[in-house]
Amino acid sequence: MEDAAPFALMLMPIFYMVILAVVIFPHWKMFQRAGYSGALSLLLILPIINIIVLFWFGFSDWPALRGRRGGM
Amino acid sequence: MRPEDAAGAIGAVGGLLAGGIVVVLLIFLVMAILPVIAYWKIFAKTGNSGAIALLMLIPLVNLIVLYWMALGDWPALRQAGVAPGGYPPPAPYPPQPGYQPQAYPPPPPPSQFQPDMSKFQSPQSHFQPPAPPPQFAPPPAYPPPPPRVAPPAAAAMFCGNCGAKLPAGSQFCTSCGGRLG
Repeated sequence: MEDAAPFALMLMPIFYMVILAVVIFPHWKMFQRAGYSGALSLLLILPIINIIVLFWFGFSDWPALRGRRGGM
Repeated sequence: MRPEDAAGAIGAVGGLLAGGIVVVLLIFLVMAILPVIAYWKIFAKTGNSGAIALLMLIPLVNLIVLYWMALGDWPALRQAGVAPGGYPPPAPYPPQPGYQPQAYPPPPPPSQFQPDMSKFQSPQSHFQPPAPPPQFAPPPAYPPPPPRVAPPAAAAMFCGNCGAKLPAGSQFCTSCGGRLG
């Protein structure tokens, strides 16, 4: 019973990494499909930067939407 | 401690607590609403409804929505003429021996709408064939220029002051400015 707390503490970083990967993956995919580098999604890990990146992503001109038929 | 003092202290502590709770609530509200605004913009840009971003407020649903948005259909991409899977990865440089370029998915079938093009034929009477290019004629043979003859010696005069050669009839020398004659 005394080992329970340290064991949980040891697992914390692993849980954190798993949750991070689960959250980063869809953003990576979205950045890629928008025409940006998926690695931009790694910035979402940083506390204040993530809001800035999200807003920039939402309001920027996506390269993929500039398309081959022009327009947009 | 008198009873009224205790009541006042409790009131002050309660006020502080309430104020703190309000501040924390406000911060949480802002931290929750800001991403929703960004996601609203992002989802709207993919061609889906921006209102889906409201689902991002619900703890586990937000993950499902994220995956749905990331892997689902983006109507805006179809409209921009991009293949559903996005761009294929670029060919490696320098060229690799085993590399097979990834083909685009087949394009969507053409629409069933077949307009009656005969209605849109422009009347042939308006069509004018382009004018034939102008024929280039050889330039007319000019008579040969007359041979240059030296001007008569009388046409020239010399300045009496500096000796410069001047055209005949000059009143002043163009070289030294002296009056002639």
